[in-house]
Amino acid sequence: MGATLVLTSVGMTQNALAASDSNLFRRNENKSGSITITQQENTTVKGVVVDQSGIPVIGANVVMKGSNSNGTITDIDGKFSLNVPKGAILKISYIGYIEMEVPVGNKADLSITLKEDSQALSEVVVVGYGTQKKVNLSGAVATMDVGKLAESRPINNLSTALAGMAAGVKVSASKHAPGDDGASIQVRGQGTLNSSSPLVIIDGVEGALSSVAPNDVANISVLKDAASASIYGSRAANGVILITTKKGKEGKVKMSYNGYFSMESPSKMIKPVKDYANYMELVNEGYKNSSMGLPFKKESIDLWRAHPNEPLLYPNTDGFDVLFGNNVLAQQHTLSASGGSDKISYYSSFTYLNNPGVVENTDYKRYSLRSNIDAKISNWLSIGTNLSGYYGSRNVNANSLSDVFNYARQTTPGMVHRHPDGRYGVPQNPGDEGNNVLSRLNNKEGENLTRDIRTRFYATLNPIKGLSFTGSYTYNYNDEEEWIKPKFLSTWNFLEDVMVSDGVGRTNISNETQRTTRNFMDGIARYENKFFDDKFDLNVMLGASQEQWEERNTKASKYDLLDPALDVLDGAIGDASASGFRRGWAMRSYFGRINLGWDNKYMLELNLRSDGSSRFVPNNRWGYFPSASAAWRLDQENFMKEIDWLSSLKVRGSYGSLGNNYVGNYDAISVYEKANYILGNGVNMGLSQGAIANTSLTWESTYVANIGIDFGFLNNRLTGTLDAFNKRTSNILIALPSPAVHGEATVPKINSAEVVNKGIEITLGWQDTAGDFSYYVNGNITYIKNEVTKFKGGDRSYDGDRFIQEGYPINVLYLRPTDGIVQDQNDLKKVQKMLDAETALAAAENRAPRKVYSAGTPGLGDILFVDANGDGIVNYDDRQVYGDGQNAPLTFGMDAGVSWKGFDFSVLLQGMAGTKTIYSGAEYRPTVRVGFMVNQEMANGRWHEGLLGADGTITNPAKFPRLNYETEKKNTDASEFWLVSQNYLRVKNLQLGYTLPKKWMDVVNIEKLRVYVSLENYFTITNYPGIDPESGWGYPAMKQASLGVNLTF
Amino acid sequence: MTSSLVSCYELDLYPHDKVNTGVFWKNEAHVKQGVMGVYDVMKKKSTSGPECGPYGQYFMLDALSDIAISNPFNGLVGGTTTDRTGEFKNKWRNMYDGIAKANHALQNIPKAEIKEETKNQYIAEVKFLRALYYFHLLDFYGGVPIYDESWVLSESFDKMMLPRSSAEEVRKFILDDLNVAETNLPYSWDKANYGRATKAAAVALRGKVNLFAQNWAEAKKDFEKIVENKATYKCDLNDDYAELFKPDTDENPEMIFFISNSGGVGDVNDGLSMAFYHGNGSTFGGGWASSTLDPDFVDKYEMKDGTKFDWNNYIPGWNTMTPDERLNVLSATTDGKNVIVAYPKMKDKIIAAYADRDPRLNQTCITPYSFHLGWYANQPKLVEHVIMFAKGPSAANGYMGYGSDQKWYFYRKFVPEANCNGQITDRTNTPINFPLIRYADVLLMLAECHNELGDVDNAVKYINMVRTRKSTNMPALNSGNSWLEARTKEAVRERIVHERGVEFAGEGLRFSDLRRWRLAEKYCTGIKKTIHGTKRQTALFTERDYLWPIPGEETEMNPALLPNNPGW
Repeated sequence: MGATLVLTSVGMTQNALAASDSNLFRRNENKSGSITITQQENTTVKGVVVDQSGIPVIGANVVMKGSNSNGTITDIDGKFSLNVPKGAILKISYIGYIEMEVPVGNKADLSITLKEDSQALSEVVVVGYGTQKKVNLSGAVATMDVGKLAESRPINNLSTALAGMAAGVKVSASKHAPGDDGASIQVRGQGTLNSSSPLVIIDGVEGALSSVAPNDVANISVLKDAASASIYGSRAANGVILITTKKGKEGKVKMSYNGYFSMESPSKMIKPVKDYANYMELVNEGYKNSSMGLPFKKESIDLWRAHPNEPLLYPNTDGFDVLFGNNVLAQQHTLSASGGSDKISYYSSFTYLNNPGVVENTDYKRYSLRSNIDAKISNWLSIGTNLSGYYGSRNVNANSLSDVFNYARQTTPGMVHRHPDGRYGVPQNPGDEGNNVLSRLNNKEGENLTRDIRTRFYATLNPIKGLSFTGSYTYNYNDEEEWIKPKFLSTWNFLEDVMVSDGVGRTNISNETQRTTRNFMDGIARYENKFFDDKFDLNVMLGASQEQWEERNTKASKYDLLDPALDVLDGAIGDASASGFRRGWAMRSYFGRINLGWDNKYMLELNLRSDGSSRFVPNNRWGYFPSASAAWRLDQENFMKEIDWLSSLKVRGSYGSLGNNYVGNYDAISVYEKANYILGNGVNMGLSQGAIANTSLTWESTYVANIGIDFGFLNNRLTGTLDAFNKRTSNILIALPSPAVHGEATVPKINSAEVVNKGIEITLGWQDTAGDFSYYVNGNITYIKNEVTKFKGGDRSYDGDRFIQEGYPINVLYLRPTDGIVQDQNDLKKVQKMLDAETALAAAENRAPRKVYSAGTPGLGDILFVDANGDGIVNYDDRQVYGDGQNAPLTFGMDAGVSWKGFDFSVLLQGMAGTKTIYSGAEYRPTVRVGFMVNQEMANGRWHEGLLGADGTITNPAKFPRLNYETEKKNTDASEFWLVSQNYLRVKNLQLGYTLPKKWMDVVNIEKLRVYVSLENYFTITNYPGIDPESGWGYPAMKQASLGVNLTF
Repeated sequence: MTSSLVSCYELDLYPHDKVNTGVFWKNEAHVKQGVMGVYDVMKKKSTSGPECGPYGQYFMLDALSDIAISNPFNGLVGGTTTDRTGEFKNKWRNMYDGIAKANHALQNIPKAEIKEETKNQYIAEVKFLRALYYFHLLDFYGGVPIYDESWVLSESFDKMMLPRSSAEEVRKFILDDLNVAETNLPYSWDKANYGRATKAAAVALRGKVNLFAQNWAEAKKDFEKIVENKATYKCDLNDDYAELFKPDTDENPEMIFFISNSGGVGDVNDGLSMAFYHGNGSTFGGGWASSTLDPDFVDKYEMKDGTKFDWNNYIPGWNTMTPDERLNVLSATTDGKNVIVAYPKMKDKIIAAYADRDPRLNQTCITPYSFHLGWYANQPKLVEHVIMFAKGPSAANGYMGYGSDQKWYFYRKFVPEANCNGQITDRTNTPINFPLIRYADVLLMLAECHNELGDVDNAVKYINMVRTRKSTNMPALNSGNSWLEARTKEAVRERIVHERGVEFAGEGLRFSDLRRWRLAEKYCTGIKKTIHGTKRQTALFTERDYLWPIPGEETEMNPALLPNNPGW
C-alpha cells in the first residue's frame, strides 16, 4: 500500500470510491458539540475549491455544518455558491482529500485549498468479486496506485511498475526485449516447486498483465493471504493481483494526454577484450596452458600491432558495442476521454507504444484501445461493457535475439561486422573464426503480428434494496501470426577484399498462426443490509462461474519460392512440411462469502470456493477451498478514543486454504506419442510412451495463517501495516527424482512435497505538509524463510548445482568448496601434501593409491578444491550447502517525494538481500577458444606465469584461474569459487516534475499541464558481476532518460 | 463460440495429438507401431552438439580412438572426465530408455489379438533390440542392473534401485534374449519392411557378444553359421566398398543390421547427423567436421602392394621437417582473394602419396587435392580439398574447407554428395543407413576366433576375403611377398587390429575393439595433430578408462550401484 499517496484528480475510480463516509474522519468529529442554528440573516457565500496544485476540485461537497440539507457541489471550475446564515461553518469534503471546516465569517468570496488525504481512510479496496472499505478489511490486501506511476514513468509493461511498491510482492524485472518484456512476480515467496506466478484478474477475468496499457489502470489490489484470495480457489495459491481499469464519471468531458520520449541504453554490459593483438595472445596462452597447438601466429599479432588505426582492415571490435549499436528513442502516448451523465458514463483511450530496441531490427510497436461504458437503464437495471484490444507488431529478426547474445560472446575482435558501405564481414585474420552479430539480425524477412480482443458484458439487477444479481460474459481472442523467409547475405573479408560467401541459398517460407480463446461467464448474487440500529452489517455473496481456454496452432513451411519476392506458401513449389497442435482446459466453480460486522468494531468474513478442473480425472476433479478472517478496530473503542496521538488501530487475523493445479493439461491421461522409424525407404508410424501418466493427480493445497496490524499515528501522518504469515503448501505437484534407468519418458507429477514460507511484512509511511511544502516517505520490507518440509523422505532431487531436500530451502546451492587458486610453489605444496598422504596411506593399507583429485590434480593457476569430508580424496562427495536457496529472504522497497508549489520530486528504490548464486556464464569464464570472446576482467585478473617472482612465489595473487581451452572444465565447473552475492539496491526511478500554474492554464483553457524528466534504472549498488542481478543473461535492463507530459483539458 | 455462451463447458478433455493408451496394443497395426518405437531409440541424437552419448551418434565414437579427432571431445579424450561428465550419463539414460521401451512392448504384445506366430516374431524383434541395448551397456559400463519386462514403468519408475548384476549375468540375459530372437526372427523381410531385425542379425550379435567375452569357440560357431550359409541368411560381401556408404546403394546384403535412415523435411526426423558432424564446409547444409581422420591413422593405410606407407618416399625429408616446412610443401599459393595462383610444386607427389594406397583410404577420406561433390548456391559443386596457408577457401572459388582450418583429413564416408538427388533437406537427417554389423565384420570376427583358437590359416583366409573384396583388391596375406607374411598368432592378431581399423573407420567400432584387446592405453594416448603436424589434441587413456563410470547422478540416487568401476 506504499503507493496510495498522491491521488491525482484525474482518473480516480469514482464509482468504486463513491461510498464516502465522513464519520471516518476522526479529527473532524465533534458530534457532541452540535451547533444550534439560530434564525439569522442569510448571505450568499461564493467560493472556489482547489487542490494543492491549484487545480479546481470538481464535485466537492460543500455543506453547512449542522444542516445536511443545505449544501451544494462545486462546478467544473471548482466554484460554488450557497445561501447560509452569517457565521455559519462550511464543511468541504471530497474523496481523497482531508475534510475542512471553514467559518464563513464576513467573507463573501472564499478560496479553499483542500489537502490531499494520502491515507484516504475512506478508501475502498477492490477485493475478489466486490469492494470493501479498507478500514473494515480483515485479510491481507495491498493496494497500489499505479495511476501516477503509469503516467510519469517510461513503463511499457505494467508488471515492471509494481517493483518495490508493496510488501510481500517481489518483482524481478526479468525480460527487457521490446515486445517481450515484463517482470516475474512472487507474492509471499515461492510457495510451490511449480510456477509461483500469481493469478492476474483483469476486470473480473484472468488475463496477462502485459495486455493492459498502464495508463488504463485505475487501481491494483494484491490479495496476499488465504482469506482474501480463497475466493479464487484453485488458482490463488500464489496470490492474486486484481486490476481494475478506469471508468468514466459524471461530469464534464475530460480529455487527457500522457506521453513520453525516452532515451534507452543498456544499464550495464560485459566488457570483452577488444584489442585484437592482445586477444590473440590471450587465446594462445589458454591453448598453451591446455597443451594444445597455438592457433594464432606471431606474424598476425605483430601485423595487428603495426596497424592500430585502420579499423576496416585491422579491426579491434567489441561485439557488445556492435550488438547495442542502435540509438533509441522509445515513446508512448496515451490519449483518453472520460465523462458521463447520471445515466451513462464512459472511459475511452488510445495508446501508442513504439520501442525501437537498443539492438537493431528488434523494434516493437503497439496500438491499444479501451472503451469502458456503464449505463443505468432504470432504478433496478444497469449494464456495462469493457472492450479492449491491441495490435502489436514485432520485428521478426527479434527471433534471433538469443542467438545474437550468444554471437556477441562467440565472436572475435578481429572482424568488421558491417562495413560502412553495408557489406557484412567475416574474421579478417586467417585462422580466426567468429560470428557476425549484424548479419544475423538482418537475415530474415517477415512479420510477427499479435491481435488481441477482449470483450466483457455485464448486467446488474437490483430487485429490492440491498439485493443484486450480476451476470457477466467475457470473450478473449488472441491471435499471433508470423511469416518468415530467409534473406541471404553475402559476406566479405575486407582485408583481403574478397567475397567469402555470396548470399545465395535455398528459399523457403514459413507461416505460423496461434489462436487462443477464452470464454468466461459468471453469475453473482449479493445481499447487504444493516440491522439492530444499523449496528450489525450483513453482507452475503454467492456465485458460480465457468471458464474455458483453448489454444490452436498451425505451422507450415515450404521450400523453393518461385520468386524470392513472394511471401506466401502458394508462392513456393518445393518440399513442404506442416505441424499443428490444439490444447485446452476448462473449469467450473461455485463460491460464496459472508461478511459480518458489529458497530464498525468487529468484523468477520467467511469464504468458500469449490473448483472442478479438466486437468484431473473425475474422481479427483473437485477441490474445496475455505477461509475465515476477523478484524477488531481498536480505535473505535471508547477507551482508545482519548488517546490523542492514535489515529487508527486495527488488528486482524485469517486462516484458509488455497489451491494450485499447475500440471499439464493432460498429465492425468496415459498416452503414446509418435516415434517413427524408417523401413525400406518409407516412414513407418511408431508410437512410444513419452510420458508416464499419474491418474491420481489432484490439487496442491496451500494453507495460509496471517495476523496483522494496521495503524495510524499523529493524525495519520505516520501510518503502517505489519503482517506475519505462515504459508504452507502441501500435496505439491512435483516430478520426483527418478533414476535414469527408467529411460526418457517424462516422469509424472505426484502430489508429494510440502513447502513452508514464514514471513514478516512491514510497511511504514510518513507524510506531512508545511506551508506550500509537502513530502512523504514510504518503505516496505519483507522477510521470508523458505523451507521444504516434506520431500520423498531424505532423498534429494539434483538440478545441476542445486538440490531440493527436506529441511532445506528450495533449490539450495550444493557446491565443491574451494580454497582460492594455486598461486605459487607454496600452494603447490598443499596439493603435494594431499598426494603424499594418499601414497602413504595406500602403502600402509597395502593397496594401489586412489586418484586424489577426481577432476585432475591442480597445477599452478588452477582452482584448489578442498577435501571437505576428510576422506583423503577431492571429489563430488566434498560438496557442501551454500546460501539460502534461490529466493532472497529479504526484499525491500522505498518511495519518497516532496512537492513545493508546482514542483514535485520523487525517488523509488528497490532491492533484495540474502541470496547467492553461481555466476559462470559463457561471458565470464577463464577459458578461451578461437572464435569466442575473452572477458577483459578475466584477462586482467587471470593467473599467469608472469605473476611469479624469481623465487617462484607470488606477490600480487591472481583473482581468477589461468586461461584454459574451453572444454577444460576443471576451473569453470560450479564450485564455491564462482559463488556471488545477488544482493542489490536499485534506484528504479528518479523524477522531477513541474505543474504549470493554474492562472496560466486558464488562459488556454487547460486544466492541468505537468512536464517531467525521469531517470529509470540509473543507479544500482551491487557486487554481482553479471549484467543484472535481477535477470540472467540476455537483453539487459535499460537505463531510460525520459521527458514526458501530462495534460488534462 | 456463441454456443459457449449458453452451454456448460465440458470438463472431460483429451489430448488432440496423442493416442490414449487404453485403446492401444489391440491389433497388429498397434503392435507394429509400438515395436517401431523400440527401434526408434537407436536414432536418439544429441541436439546440443557432436557428443558421443546417444546411440544415434555412434559414428562419433571413433574420435575416442586412434581413428579420428574431435576437438569437442578434448575433455573426454584428455583424461579429465569425472563421473559427472555428460556423455556418461546420456549413453546410460539412452540405453535404458531403449530397454524400458522394449520392456513395455514385451508386457503388452502378449495381450494383442493376433496370431501366436506373429506375436512371437514381434517378441523376438523386441528381444533382439533389448539385447543390443544391454550389450552396448555391458561394453561401456561392465555389469549393470538388469530390468526386464516384469518392471512396469508407471508403477515403479521411481523405485528402480537394483544393484548391478555381474557382467556374466548381464551377458547371460543378453544371450537368452538372442536365443529367442534367433528362433523366431525371419531370414529376411520384404522390401516394405527392410531394416527390421533378421535371424542373421541375432546370430551375428550373439557371436559378437561371445567374442567380446573371449568365448572364442562359441563365437566361432555363430559366425561360421552365417558365413557357411550366407545364401540362407541372405547376406554377403558387397563388391564395392564405397557403395555401402551411399544413399542409393546402402540397401545391401552386406548390411546384417543397421540403423535405417532417410532424409526429412521440417519436423520429420528420420536420419542421423553424419552430414553435420562428418561433413565439411561444402557439404549440404554446411558440415561442422566435428570428427576428422587422425593423420597418424591415415598414414597406416598400406600401399597398394601391401607395404607400409612412408612420406619420405614421396616428399624427401618429410619425416624430419617442422610443421611449417611441411605446410610449405603442401600449400598452394593464393592471391589476395584466396584464388589459387599456383599449386604446390609437389602436387603430383602429394596426390600420388594418397592414390597409391589401399583404395579404402580415398573411399573413407577426402585427401588433399582430391575432389568432393559438394553443394553450393543450390547447385551441386565439385570442390577441391586445397591446403592453403591462410583460411578462406570457399566453395564459390571451387575449394572445399571448413572454417578455420582446412589442414585436416575430412571424412568422405557417410558424407552426402551434392543433395543426394534431393533425398537430403537437412544436415541433421542424413539419408544413409548406418551399419551396426556388416558381413565384413562377421568375417573379421570369425578370423579372430580362428586365430585365438590357434587356427592361423583359417584366420588368414577370412582376413583375405575382406582384403580382396573386388573394389579393395589388396594383396592377400601370405601370398608370396615377405611383407605379407603372417604366420603366428601374434602376427595375425596385429593384422586383424590393422584390418579392422581401415575397414571400419568412421563406423564407431574401434573404441570398443581397442578396449576389448586391452590396447587402448597404447592406441588412445598421444598427441593428435593436423596434416602438417601441429598439435590439435592431447589424448590420454588410462587403466580406469576401460570402463566408463556409472554416472555420478545415478549412484547418488541409487547407492546400491556402488562401488563404481575401478578408478572412478
